[in-house]
Amino acid sequence: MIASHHAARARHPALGTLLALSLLAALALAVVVGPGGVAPRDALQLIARRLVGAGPPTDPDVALVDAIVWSLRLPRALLAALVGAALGVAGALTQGLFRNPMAEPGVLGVSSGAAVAAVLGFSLGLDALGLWVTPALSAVGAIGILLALLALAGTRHGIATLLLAGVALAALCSALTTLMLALASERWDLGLKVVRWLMGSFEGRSWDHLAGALAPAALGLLAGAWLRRDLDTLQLGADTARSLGVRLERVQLLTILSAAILVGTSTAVAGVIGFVGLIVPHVVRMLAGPGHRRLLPLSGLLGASLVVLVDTGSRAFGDRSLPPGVITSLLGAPFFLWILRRHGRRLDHLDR
Amino acid sequence: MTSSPTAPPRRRGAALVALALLACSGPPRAPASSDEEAVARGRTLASQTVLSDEVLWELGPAVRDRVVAVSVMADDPRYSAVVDRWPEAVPRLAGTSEALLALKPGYTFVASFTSAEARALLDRHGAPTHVLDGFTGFADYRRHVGDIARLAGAEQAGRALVERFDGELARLSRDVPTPAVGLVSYNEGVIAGRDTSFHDVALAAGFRNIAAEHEITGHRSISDELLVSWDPAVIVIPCGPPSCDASERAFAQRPGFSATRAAREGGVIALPPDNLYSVGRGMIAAVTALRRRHPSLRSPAP
Repeated sequence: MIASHHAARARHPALGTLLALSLLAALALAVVVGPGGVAPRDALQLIARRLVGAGPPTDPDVALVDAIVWSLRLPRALLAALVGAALGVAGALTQGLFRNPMAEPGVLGVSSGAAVAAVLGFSLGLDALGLWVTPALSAVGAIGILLALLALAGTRHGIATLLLAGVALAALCSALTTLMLALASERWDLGLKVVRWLMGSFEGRSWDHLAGALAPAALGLLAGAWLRRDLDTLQLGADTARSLGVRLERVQLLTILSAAILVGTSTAVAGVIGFVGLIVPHVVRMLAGPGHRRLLPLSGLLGASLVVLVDTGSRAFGDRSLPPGVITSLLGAPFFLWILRRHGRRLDHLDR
Repeated sequence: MTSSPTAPPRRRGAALVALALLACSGPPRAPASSDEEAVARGRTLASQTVLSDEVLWELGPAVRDRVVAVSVMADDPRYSAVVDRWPEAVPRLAGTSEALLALKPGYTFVASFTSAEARALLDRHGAPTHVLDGFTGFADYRRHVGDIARLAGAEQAGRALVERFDGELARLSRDVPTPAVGLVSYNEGVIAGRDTSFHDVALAAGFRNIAAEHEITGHRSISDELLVSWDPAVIVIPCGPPSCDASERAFAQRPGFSATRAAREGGVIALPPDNLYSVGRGMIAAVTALRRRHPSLRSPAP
């Protein structure tokens, strides 16, 4: 056990570099691949031109290619990376807090809260007021559920109460979402919007979405990184952690806040992207060990690469637009089962 | 017909077989003879589709008086062409078979997407249904009007309705602007290809449907990038709040789309949803609106 952790630690710098390079490669691929038929060289040249401060081209034909690469592909790829990183880190934080490898950010109910607020906005036609409305409403929904979770389970109760309250709130939000859909079942345009949003998508996301998500995601990532030592100590058990000076209630509160900010931000800008928060920390734990100093940044890097690649793949085949949230679940579920079958015993050991 | 609790087992079995046979029988055949037309003229009617709400109204007072229910969308301005026209006494029903059964309609017009269970339940309880399937443009409209009119015993009114529709189309088709300009419809990433009412509307208004030219049939979700790369001269969107003009302006500023010819040259056209998505007479209004905004009719730049 100790030897394997030392080996994992030795692999860590190389693994970090490898994952960072993978993310850069995935981003490069994302800006040269797409149904718009832009030559990879043209795409890279246009981005280089923009990066040195050039404005939009004046020639209409070049401006169209510039719009495809600079206004559609690049912000979409960067947003996918941000969302992937946020979900990967949120997953690691949630599993660390609950000391349970089956926990995923959805158990806090935050993504369901974001979803119910977005669906309410669609039902009332508020989304027509601007592209910012749905992300803003989702953020309000995520914050609302977070406050409800803290009010119900707060820091005075144990982890189990927190988990159950999160599950109950998620179920309540799902029921409210279904109720709104049922009451408007004859409005096919509403159904179309809701289903597309719930499937998760980066379609039509712009620099504005990226700018809106950057600050809260950075806050969540930094707060998560700050908690790494306490989360490591927490793995020894609540009593041991307390005896070692960990202020359990504060760690619990900050971890919930960080994970909720990360998941709420992701859901607000991209809808529901499943399985990333569950599977990515598992893979990283197998490669680099359970320590949160490594687990958190590497989960961010792997989550970012995974979501960028999935989104690029969804645009690469044919003229249909496939929702990345569906692809992550289609890939993630069998992969997760394979990991459980292959490494089940080792995972049990790590999680003890 | 039903067996009493004291009926001997054999009689009870026979009754059950008879009930099962009755339940398995399909809806009554469409009337063909004049006697059957007379029967059809006496039937009460219920509508559970927005198209039949519209057609039953258009068939005239004799048919309207026999309508016992219309769909819950009949007063929804997003889809219906007969908003607030049906009297308040006619209930708006949202496909609940219990409420429909209570009205005992002689015929209920449902759509192919109405739940199969609800349709089967209506049939089993002697409330026959007519299923309107296929809403892919002008030809389907004519067929549905013919079917609804025949089952309502108002074939002549139905023929007149179709003739009026075709007359207006013929009038609009005169002097169709040339050359045909490429356009696409767009709503939440979904575009309309061949075999859609929008396709027929676009062609009748003097446009080429770019989605159909790319072998897209029906409605399909595509990526924004692909649509932008087609660089259409006209993009047709549904009007949203607060106004059609505001929808056009907002769409023309969307990232990526702002570089298309449509956005640069004023070719983003927002149509009221009850015209854009109509499978009835709203299609004529859509053709009229699109013809009025055809790029060839724009005054040349000074």
